[in-house]
Amino acid sequence: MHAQIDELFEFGGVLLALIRVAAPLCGDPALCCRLEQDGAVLLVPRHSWAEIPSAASGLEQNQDGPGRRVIPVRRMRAYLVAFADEARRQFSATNPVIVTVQATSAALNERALSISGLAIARLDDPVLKEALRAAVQTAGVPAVAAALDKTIKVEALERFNEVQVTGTILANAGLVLTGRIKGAVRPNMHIVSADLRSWVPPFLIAYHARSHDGAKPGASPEGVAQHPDGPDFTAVLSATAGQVAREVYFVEADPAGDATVFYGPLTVNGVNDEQQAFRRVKEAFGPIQSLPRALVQHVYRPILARPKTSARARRFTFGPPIDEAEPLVSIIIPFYGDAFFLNCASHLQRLLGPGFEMILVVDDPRIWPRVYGQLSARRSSIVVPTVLLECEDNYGYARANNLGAMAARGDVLVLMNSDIMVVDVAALNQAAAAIRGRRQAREPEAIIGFSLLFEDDTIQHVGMEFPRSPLVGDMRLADHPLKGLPSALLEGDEGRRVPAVTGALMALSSDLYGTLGGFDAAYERGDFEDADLCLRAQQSGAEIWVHVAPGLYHLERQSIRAMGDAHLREAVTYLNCLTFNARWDAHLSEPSATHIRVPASQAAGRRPITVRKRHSLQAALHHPASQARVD
Amino acid sequence: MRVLILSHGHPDLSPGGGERAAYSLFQRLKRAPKVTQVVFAAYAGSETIGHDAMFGSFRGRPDEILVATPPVDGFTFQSLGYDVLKRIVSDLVRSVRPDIVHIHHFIHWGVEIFDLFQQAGVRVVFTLHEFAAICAQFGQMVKSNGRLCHVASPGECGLCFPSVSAGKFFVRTTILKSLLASVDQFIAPSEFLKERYIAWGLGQDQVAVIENLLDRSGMAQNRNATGQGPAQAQLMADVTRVVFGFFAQINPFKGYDVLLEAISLLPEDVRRQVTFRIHGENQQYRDTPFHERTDRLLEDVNDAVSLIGSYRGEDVFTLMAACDWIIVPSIWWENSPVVIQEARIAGRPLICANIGGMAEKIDSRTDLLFPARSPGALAELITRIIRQRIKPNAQLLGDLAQARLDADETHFARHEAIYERLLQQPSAWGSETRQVMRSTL
Repeated sequence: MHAQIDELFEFGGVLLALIRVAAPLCGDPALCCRLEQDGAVLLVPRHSWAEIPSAASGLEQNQDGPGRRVIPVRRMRAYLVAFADEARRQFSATNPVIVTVQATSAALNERALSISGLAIARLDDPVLKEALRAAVQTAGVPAVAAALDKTIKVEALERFNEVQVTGTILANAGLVLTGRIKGAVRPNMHIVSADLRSWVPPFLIAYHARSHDGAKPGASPEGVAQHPDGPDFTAVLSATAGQVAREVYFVEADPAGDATVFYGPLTVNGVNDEQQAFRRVKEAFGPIQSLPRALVQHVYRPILARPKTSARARRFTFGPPIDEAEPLVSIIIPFYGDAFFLNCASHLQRLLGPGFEMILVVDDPRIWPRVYGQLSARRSSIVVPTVLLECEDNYGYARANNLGAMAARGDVLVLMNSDIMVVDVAALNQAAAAIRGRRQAREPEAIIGFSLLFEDDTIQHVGMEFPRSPLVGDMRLADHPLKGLPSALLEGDEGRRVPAVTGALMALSSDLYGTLGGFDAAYERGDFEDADLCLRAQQSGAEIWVHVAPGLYHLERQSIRAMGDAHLREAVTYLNCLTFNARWDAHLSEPSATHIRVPASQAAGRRPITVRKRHSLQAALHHPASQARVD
Repeated sequence: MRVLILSHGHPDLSPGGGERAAYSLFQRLKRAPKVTQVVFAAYAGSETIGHDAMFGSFRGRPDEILVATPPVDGFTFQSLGYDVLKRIVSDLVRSVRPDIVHIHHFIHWGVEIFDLFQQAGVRVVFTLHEFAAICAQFGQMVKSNGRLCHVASPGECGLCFPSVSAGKFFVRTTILKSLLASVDQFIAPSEFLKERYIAWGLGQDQVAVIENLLDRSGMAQNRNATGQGPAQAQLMADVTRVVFGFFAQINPFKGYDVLLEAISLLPEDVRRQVTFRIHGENQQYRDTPFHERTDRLLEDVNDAVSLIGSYRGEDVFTLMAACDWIIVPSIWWENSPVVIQEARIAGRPLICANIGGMAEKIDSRTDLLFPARSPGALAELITRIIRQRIKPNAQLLGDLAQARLDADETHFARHEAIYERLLQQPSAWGSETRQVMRSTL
């Protein structure tokens, strides 16, 4: 065997793999370690691995007896591979991860492993501890690295009587812990989970004055440190792998001292309450918009991001079988929050002719009984082949669509929000024909969006743009220009190139969707994933078009209301906005970012709707390069 | 020709104007030589049917079928048990083999009923009874804040129901229009109702205005009551006071409280000269603020008011004969209130609110209007009637009564003409026209 994969664990939010590779192969420049789960992939090349001296305990020793010369049976080198990329948050602890060690020629080894935690006792191993220290130092958490630089001691919780925990709230992948400190702020106190998955260093603990004496809680320890009773504190423990902490330790790591002391364990049992967790974090750390990006990831993401368990759904079929001989358009409609909009799907059934199937994805266990009951009670009205998927949990718009796409059998996909009301199906047929025509003519692939109207015939969508907005700290938003204006004012061509189109209703080939890996679930619940898909599609050479046609209504945001608190919803949007901007801001700021041309057939004297000189991106729309159009 | 009449209830079980109109048409069709078979099918709860089947017969009559339809969604009127409904329609079509189905309401049936019959090759006639398709507020076009509504739009409807978004109203309207596209012919009993539905989206040519037929048995009794002047009517007549009759369900829409308030505003001398007979029952609004309020109002005016209670349809003419005036103070638009038709036949003059179907159906030579919803104006009008001793011409009232009796034959002939015309047309099912209608409605 040329490589061995020993362990995969999470430490302080970073995924770490312990591997060994046969010494002669260690010079291979293409050597890399790869993690894969449900399509999410992380890859770390050899040059970023940290070598562990061969005596590392916990690893297999090859020696032939005490006092004798150590003779390696097979000369292997051990490495600790750290996966700190944002994409690690897509991995789930509930399912195994495929760990692969890859060389130029082939995979040296591959193993399916669950992501474990790490027992504190393992830190007694100086070699492993040193490797971990180096890894977290590289991952950018020097405070944790410093704590690992000392001898590790574990003491009973009673020995650390300066702290009193007053509240624990669970929400998604986070645990919000609040408590009181005797005396002053403790600048060297860390809070860690017993399995070391989550490690909160001092700078991520918010101290604030006691609320009962009228002082406003704040994120900064300054000014409250001298409070006679000492301040309250709040910390968010997270676990990338979705394993919320049940036991925690308070860790004192005095830089001047000679040991890092773990006090605990303290068993925590919190109630699951997303709203309350959100409010607590907001009080303690400040509004999400006011925080630096790194802090948002540490304190807001855990409580807002749904745990990335692998998405599973049960499949039910209704209606006639599909006609295998004919090309098929699969309409995928996720449902969340409000079963009322099943009415729209039922209405669509009555309008669709042959050549369609419907994939209804119920991404909300709360409404499943109603949706299933309603469909079952009208089986005989279902004239379009229909697949009904019952998601085991609420996975969000991106993953619900991806599940739907897996169940879809059409060569063309139409992604549709449940609150889309189709009054005229002509536009859907035209888009499907255009997508197939392009493929036959070997022209670039296209994502086709549609003009969408509100119920009062005003514009809901005619393409998206990405202007910077002061509302989100001057980041780029996915903006719908002309929203709310009467659609009668809409002039210009039927087909228009645009930077992106809404996922509320978009058509594309199932091949393109598959190649792009579908929507990226890094976006929480339903935001920006459509813009992201369009930008990735363009990078792969596809074109984005909006098809302006009557009879398509989007009764927007109706399904989002069920998420409750508008502030929480806003925070989720902001979180997604951060993700989107981290990925695309630089690209969108390049002058040639979007290769969009004004169609040649723009009739003189008619006002093109998408052209509004508001920012540099808009100016790019006018780039007088070659022309293109949807046929 | 074979005709199936579909009603939202049997008038003997649920005595509403729409049910009675449907049943009267059924009775008249039974006597039509061109009609070889007519069956009346009415919704009824399964407890009324009394056995474990979707169908039963009313008092064992072979042509009066009770149907336990599955529940209907209260917002979109779609059936919550479409498959069962489809089975019901299939059974009705197989057994009755109708050429025409004349549907008098989709409530209790589900709005898919039109489509199901049309798919079965049956021509579909639908009589509109109120604004159910337009307005989610009991089909009354009265806003939730109590004001009259003149036109519906998703945005404005959303204001009446803050928990329901404008988008949902758009969905509701789209579905209803789409499913109503399976109606071959609409009938509206009043011009007013037709105009509201035209404004909503039905085609001008799709809707014929034909008055509802009235109950034959009642009319036969009326000939006795008015023609021969039986002792019964004389007994009931109050010779010392002017008698005003109110004939309606006691609920907030019929203006019962407006009437009581008007009575309380009458000057003392007028009040001593009048009696108000209230014929009707508060069935649905017991133990509500409306009930409490009207009970309090009643305490102030009980010297001038007699609560008579509910009445049987066939007695209405006798009861009206004991009144000098019939008051219709409804606070909603009304369509074509049966009580106006009945008063006409009873030869009694009317006092009506000046809106909608009421304003349309009166005869200005004998009847009077007052500004709707205004107790003060109604009190003033009653005062004038008493002080000026206003009494419409008895001869003219008699002529109008006879004309109304005769008009029923005209109304029936127009129904029959529609059936015959539809039977000469090919079924609209699957036709291009229907598809176009579906997308444009």
